Amino acid sequence: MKQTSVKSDSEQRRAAARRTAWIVAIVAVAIYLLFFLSQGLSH
Amino acid sequence: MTTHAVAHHDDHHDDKPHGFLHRWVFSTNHKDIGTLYLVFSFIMVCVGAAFSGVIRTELMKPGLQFVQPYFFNEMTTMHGLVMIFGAIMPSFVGLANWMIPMMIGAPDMALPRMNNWSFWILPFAFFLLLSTLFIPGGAPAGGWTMYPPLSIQGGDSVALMVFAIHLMGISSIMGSINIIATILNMRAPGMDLLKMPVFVWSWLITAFLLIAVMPVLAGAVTMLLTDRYFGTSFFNAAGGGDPVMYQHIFWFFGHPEVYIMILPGFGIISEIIPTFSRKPLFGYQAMVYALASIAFLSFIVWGHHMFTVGMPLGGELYFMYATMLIAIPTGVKVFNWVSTMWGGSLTFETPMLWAISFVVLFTIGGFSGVMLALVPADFQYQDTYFVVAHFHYVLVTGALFAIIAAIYYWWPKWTGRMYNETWAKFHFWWTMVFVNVLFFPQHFLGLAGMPRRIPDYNVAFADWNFVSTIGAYGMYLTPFMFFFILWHSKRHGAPAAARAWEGAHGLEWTVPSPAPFHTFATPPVIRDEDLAHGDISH
Amino acid sequence: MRSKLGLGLVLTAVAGAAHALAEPWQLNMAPGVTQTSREVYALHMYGFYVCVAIGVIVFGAMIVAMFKFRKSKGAVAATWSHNTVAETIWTVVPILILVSLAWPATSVMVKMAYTEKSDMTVKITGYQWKWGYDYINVGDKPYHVRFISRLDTRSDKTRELRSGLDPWAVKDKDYGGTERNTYLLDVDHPLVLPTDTKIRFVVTGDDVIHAWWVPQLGWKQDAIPGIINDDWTEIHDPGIYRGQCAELCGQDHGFMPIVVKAVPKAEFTKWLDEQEALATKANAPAAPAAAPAAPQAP
Repeated sequence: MKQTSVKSDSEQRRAAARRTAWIVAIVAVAIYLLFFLSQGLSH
Repeated sequence: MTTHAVAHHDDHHDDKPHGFLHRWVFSTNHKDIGTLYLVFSFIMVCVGAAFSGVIRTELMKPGLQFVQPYFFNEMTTMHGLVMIFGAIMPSFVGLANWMIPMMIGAPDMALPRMNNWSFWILPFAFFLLLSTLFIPGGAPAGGWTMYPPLSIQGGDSVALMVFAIHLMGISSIMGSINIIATILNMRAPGMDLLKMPVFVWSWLITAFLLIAVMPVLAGAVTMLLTDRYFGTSFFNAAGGGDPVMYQHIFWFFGHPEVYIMILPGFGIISEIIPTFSRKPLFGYQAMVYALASIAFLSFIVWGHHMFTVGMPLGGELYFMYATMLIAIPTGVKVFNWVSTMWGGSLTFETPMLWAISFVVLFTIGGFSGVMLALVPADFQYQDTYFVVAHFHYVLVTGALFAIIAAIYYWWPKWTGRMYNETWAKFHFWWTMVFVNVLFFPQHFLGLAGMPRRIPDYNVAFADWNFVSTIGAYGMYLTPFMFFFILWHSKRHGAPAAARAWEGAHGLEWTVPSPAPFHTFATPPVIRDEDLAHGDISH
Repeated sequence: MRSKLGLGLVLTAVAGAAHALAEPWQLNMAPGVTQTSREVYALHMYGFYVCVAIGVIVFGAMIVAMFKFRKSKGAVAATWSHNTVAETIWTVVPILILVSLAWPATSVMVKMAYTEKSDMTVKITGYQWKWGYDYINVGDKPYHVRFISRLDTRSDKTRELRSGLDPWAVKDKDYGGTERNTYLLDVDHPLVLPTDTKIRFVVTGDDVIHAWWVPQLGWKQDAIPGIINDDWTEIHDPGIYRGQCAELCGQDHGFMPIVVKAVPKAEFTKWLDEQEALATKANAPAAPAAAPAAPQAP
């Protein structure tokens, strides 16, 4: 019982980490596109 | 390997993958990937040093003795790119990989397979970049800043350079994603954010800087690429573009980038000085806030790299004031390091020597930084050797010294062996002498009027250039010394205790030395006395 | 500003007389030959002394700590890690110091940016790898004098890879008549300017970005294609002042020097009018696409 609770806790943390990673990655791509488009559209 | 029998036990935590390929190429272990990063950056330091060898040898005497001016420009460009993206940044990522999980009680990085990918992109990126030395038209020769229109005048090295930078950027961004996810989600229960070691804090902030600015650099170099090959005119004045816009975008990346290369160094020094002072870090929270303020300010000061492009008066003044503000949090950090030493019980093992020299020499680099912030004076300093001296003081005696300090500091934890203290001290003092012989005279050269990035000069600059080159030759011996000291330690060093340094605190010192292949598979129970900054109530 | 200027001048005297050219083993910036350049120099020295003072305090404290709090001398570590008074002091005092730096910097900057009310205008164009100079006007009178200024032949031959020629042998007479080494700092046609005249420069680039820099005038300005920047100077002392391109502009970036020859006003007017006569003659309809007139030294 205790074993599984530890396990699911670490599973939860990994899932949260994956979520964080995706959010950060999307932010990075957004910054790239934003900079590129802002330059492209200003001409 | 004698672990054959052990390998049958599936639950054993210490069985490393068998075979070179499985252990190193397919590795998902944060410690092995950290090692890969560090080995890679060591190779890149040597490559970058070789490029600077060409530069300093040509500059030893007036007149052109060895290389054509164009090749000289290739060398200055490649030296910058290799040292920044190949040496300093990956070595900090290597240290992050090794230490962050151990410092916050996590079993590994949050995304181990992406970690592997982040690293293995780098060798390919540098294969692309270095291959330009052998293609028709030669390597990029427009400076590491790649200002158009000059940077797109070259041959097809433009394309290879841009792709190489894209790859480096992807690697850095994935590394940062991993670090952010690890620090935010993988801390052991009880490891509050404001109990984390300053090194972890410095990397959390650095990773956010990377996420914010690497895409900007990628955008800027992509525009160079389309300007060069697809007929766009982002930066081409004849087509309605603006060459100065590139500089704004580049330095919007570039200024945070220079802090990306120093903030983890601040973190390292904030771990080492308390250890050898046997006293808690002075003003832990102030240190964290100072890091965050420096990071914030780094986004709003980029114009100080461009004081001579002809910005309006208001712009010049704004960037001057904003830049000068950086001196305040940076000053707080320096004062806090000194206060940590004050009233301590100091010993001077090698990591401490590097850390103290970091504080002194980095501060000298900071002083010339304050002088450079004064716009009218910058009109004289800009693009001279004064600037070269300034950024080598912050990047070599700053960032690189911090990395070397970190390697000496955590080496016993990584390998379970101590290094030879006498030889390491010799390495330190040798470096101390020659790094200053190399870079200090460059202040004089710049003030006397020598521009940077020139292969030849008037005889009035001959003497200090000669001195500087002697210093460089002294420095070229140091990678060999360092390598030998570490190799000797690995083979013959005395065994290290779990807590290798008497005054060391932090979770990494609670695991055995060498650190087992897997640490903290189950989260540790955090006791405040184990932490360097456990109790922040006073 | 005046007192700091005085301090700067005293320092120059200590460091040796100011020369139009860098000296071997030179340690410091030259104060230059314009009011602006001297103010810039004074600002530079003020910044330097502030840094030295802070350095003495910080490094002094470190040295004291390293000797006083050694474990080998039986030092026992304290446990404190905060001191609100100290922390407040070293946040507030640097702010005051920075304000004291920003104040003179702003005042010099404002003066440098004021390019109006000039007596004449010269256009500077950066090319790979030479400088173009156009005399646009003096007072209300327009001029058409235009020439290209490039590295002198002796330096150019000496700087070839393994030329076997001695850079130390490239010498020329300075304005005062003393012989000076001018390796890589000499041109075929110097930019001739009058003394005691507010000269406005408009600076641009033709191909890539260059930077026009004569240290004795106290500033440099990027020469950028598609962009026109302006600056001004007013030279007090007649003389020959040498500088170099300061922005990487390709293979011969190190070989496009700048020479300014400052002469008294009357001499300048005479020279310019001669050049104008040559230029208008060359541009007469009969002349086929004339090359820019090479100026003669006054």
